[in-house]
Amino acid sequence: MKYVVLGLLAAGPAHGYEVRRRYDELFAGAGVEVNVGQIYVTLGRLEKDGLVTHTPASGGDRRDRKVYRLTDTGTKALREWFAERPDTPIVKPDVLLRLVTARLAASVIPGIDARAIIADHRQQCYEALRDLDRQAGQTPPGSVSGLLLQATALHLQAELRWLEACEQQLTQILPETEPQP
Amino acid sequence: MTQPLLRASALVRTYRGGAREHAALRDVSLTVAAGDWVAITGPSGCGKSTLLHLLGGLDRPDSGEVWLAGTRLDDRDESGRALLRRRHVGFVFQFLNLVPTMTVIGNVELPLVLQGVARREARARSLEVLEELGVGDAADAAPAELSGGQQQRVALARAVVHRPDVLLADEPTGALDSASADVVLDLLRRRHDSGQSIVLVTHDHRVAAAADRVVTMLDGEIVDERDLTGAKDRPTYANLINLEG
Repeated sequence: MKYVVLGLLAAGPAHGYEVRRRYDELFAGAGVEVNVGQIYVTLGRLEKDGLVTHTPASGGDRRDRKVYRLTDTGTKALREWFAERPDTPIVKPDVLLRLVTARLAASVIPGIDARAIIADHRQQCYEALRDLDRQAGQTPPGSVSGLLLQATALHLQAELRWLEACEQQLTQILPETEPQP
Repeated sequence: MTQPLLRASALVRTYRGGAREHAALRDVSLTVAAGDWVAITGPSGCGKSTLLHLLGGLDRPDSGEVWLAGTRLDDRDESGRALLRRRHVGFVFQFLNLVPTMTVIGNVELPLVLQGVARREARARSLEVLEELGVGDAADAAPAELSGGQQQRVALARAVVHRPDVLLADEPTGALDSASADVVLDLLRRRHDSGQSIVLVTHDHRVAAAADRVVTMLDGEIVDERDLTGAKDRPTYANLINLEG
């Protein structure tokens, strides 16, 4: 959020509502909502760190009077951020840990079924994919929101394919119970 | 309960190549109700295409039964199955199987002509479906003049022109780029919304997610079955994308 807001101000000075409007224009279609309160909190923090500063806008007595702009320190922070490598998309193997643990804990908690864990996770991934597809239908092609939705959809597809591999290759960790009819 | 449109029970199919035996299906049962959209998915070699071929009477099981629209399909000879197929089933494949020497509309009206529908009516109905699928302009073109995505729409038109009880689709988006795949998927969705029963085989989970039910196969068996119809009424996932950090 921090760098996105810095970027939004790098596009030109703006008051809080304008920052939010710019944000929504880019991301709201992907369902990443932000309220104006979050924007003000972020601006406040950035100002405390000296990355942005504000000047009172002339005229009017609306509540939204502060016009924010990027400081030199803010520009430097942005430049340093670009110099860093983006995160490697490392998988959080939540399902696998549950599958393995289900096997380990079978004598203590006999009720857990590894197949049910896979089934639940598969259900969740498919429902999320379905949802994304519906959202993508409302997103203009070539938009930032569209790219975000696509990234998530591709990750979900990879997860579903990996679940097949789990079923195929890790039969030894699945408890020897038949799936319930 | 009303009789299901399609019912397969305890299907076994083994392929014999020389000394090797390969069990493509071991005890698979599946029921499809009228209006259902079922996706069959799983890694390659899991038996999903074999199952589809048995459901459509393109092949026969070693044991087990297939019932289509109240009629037993698996114990008929090829011509008996062909008759039932023509009446009840529409097929779409990954590779389009259009007749290259015929025009687009000639391809589409083929199932109607085979059914004995009068030429004029066959032509009118074919054009209607082509237009609905957005390729009406291409009616008089040769299939080779069209892009892969357009050809697949023509293949889809041919598969549904005789209003089959069930549309069987084997990797219908498998040979298409993602934009064409989106179009075909959208057309399937619309056909289904207007009541078309669909059984679709795909290894593409995004395509599978469009169905009402997703059946997962592994090594010739069904290992999971998910019902996605409940997801329609759920609010959108707001937390799928995280910009924090």
